[in-house]
Amino acid sequence: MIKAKINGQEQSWDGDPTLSLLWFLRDEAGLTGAKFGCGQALCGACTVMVDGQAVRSCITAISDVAGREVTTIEGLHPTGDHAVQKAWRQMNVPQCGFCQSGQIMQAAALLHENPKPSHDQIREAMAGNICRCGCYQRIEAAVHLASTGV
Amino acid sequence: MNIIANPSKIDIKVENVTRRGVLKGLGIVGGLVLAAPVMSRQAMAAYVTGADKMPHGTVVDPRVFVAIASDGTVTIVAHRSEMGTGIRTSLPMIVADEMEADWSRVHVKQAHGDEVKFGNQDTDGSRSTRHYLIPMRQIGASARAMLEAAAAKRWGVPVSEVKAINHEVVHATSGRHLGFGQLASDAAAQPVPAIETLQLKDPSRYRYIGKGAVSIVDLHDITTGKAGYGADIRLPGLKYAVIARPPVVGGKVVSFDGAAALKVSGVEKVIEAQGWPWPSKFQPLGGVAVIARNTGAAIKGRDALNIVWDDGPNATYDSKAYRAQLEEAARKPGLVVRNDGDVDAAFKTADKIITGEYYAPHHSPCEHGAAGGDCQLQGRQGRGLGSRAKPGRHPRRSGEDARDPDRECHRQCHAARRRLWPQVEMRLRAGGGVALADGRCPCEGAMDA
Repeated sequence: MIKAKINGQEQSWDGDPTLSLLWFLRDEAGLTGAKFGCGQALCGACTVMVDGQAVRSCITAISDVAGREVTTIEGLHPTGDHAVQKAWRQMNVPQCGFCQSGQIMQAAALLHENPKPSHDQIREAMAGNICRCGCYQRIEAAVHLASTGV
Repeated sequence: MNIIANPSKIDIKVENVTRRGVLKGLGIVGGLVLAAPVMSRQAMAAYVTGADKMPHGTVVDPRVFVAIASDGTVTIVAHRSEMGTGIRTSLPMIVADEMEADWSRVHVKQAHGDEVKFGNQDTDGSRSTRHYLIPMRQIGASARAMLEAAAAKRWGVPVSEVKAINHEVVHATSGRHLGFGQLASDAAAQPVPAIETLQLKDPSRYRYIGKGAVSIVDLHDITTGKAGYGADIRLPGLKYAVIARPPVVGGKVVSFDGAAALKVSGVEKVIEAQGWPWPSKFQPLGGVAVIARNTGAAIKGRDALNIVWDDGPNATYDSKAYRAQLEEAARKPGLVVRNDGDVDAAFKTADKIITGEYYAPHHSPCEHGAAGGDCQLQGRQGRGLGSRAKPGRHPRRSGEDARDPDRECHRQCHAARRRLWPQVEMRLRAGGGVALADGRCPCEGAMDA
């Protein structure tokens, strides 16, 4: 039996321990905010936080998060008003939105670790999150805005 | 040009749609108006867009697209699919602008797939706004005219003296005004004006169109993970299926062994999904489906399948040779359709010349193809429902064409009608994998999205 805290709630899994965290979240825990894009940690759409660090849930086995704290987009802020979420709305970042949960979680993890990142640091931290609508300039601007106060 | 279609030539399914049913369909409870049984009429073209050439053309009817609740909430139907262009926001916004609705009091409702009712729903070709700007304005203008007529009647004044402004109708001479909600039921009783009589707003009076001040309606939901995509559909008893597709488009399964797949933890069933004979066009490509309790198990199961494929008519197709052919063609001088200045001279005197070759796959969104199905024994003819859909295709399977989920949805519904028990009602939503509700349902064999 694998136990992990997901968005503050203890959850358990007694199935395949190699099941990826992404599919556990989406199909077993009903948290569909994290998306499946490539399944190979190449696009970042599945990004969640584990103990405050951004991880690609598609290649993270559920057994790897045993006893740890997982935060998904649904649990980032109780009312959806994390500085990154607010900045995202202020800058009208999303278009289709499919990658945006991952983008936001990646940005939140960055600011958790480095509250005042430079533009270069923002670009570097966000480089692994692909947006096929091409929202990159607004993403960078929104992360900067979130770091300077929304 | 009047392109009002001959109703006798349109394949309209006469459904006994009660007003209550329509209200329920629009998701509004209480005194609402402008909702009426489905009676489609086509737009009068202000200029040629090609919209009338699309299957089912355009539909201009405020009763189909607009509802007003007694509290003033205006519900506007978005009948095209959102893929990141903002169309789910912009089309209803056009209606709101033309009818003088306050955007903050507008609720956008996604249409299901029903082209007889809503007109053509293909969301492709960068033409939704081009095709629907005028029809949406006409819909808004119709609703506005009905509200103004209702107010004029209430006050006993000529309709020419009243004007809809920002969610209310105003009689300037007397200073009276009535909110859209207050006029809702009276406006519903007004006849829908003939399209030829509609007065469209002067563009100088636009409130939203072209102002760039309206955010997309899904903005908040996207930032909180609540926005729903095709693969996010969750139904009671849902099963997840992943399909091994022919490695060459047009290929088919000769035989398969699902024993190893069935041993994967969480896998419940392995079935062959029938394809269509080549060229299958928008019909399913077929393959072998692995049904499991979660997608991760289904993917593992698919990877464990042993399938013998017949590569079919495209077996000798050579992707590398085709690529080389494309590259060669691209290096040749192009067809000049416009020639401003002297490009050759500019190149000769340029300080720096940048050259590059770029190769991109045909459509590759992050989101992958998905369809969801809810199969219930209803004791009546099957019916298919579309949904808010996103661009989808089956990723990383060579040779497949991108498919429009809406069309996929329609196709599946039609396939379901043909192939399934007539008693089965299928509710299909397009958009990542195939989701099946109730794995024991007899229609799972057709769910080969």
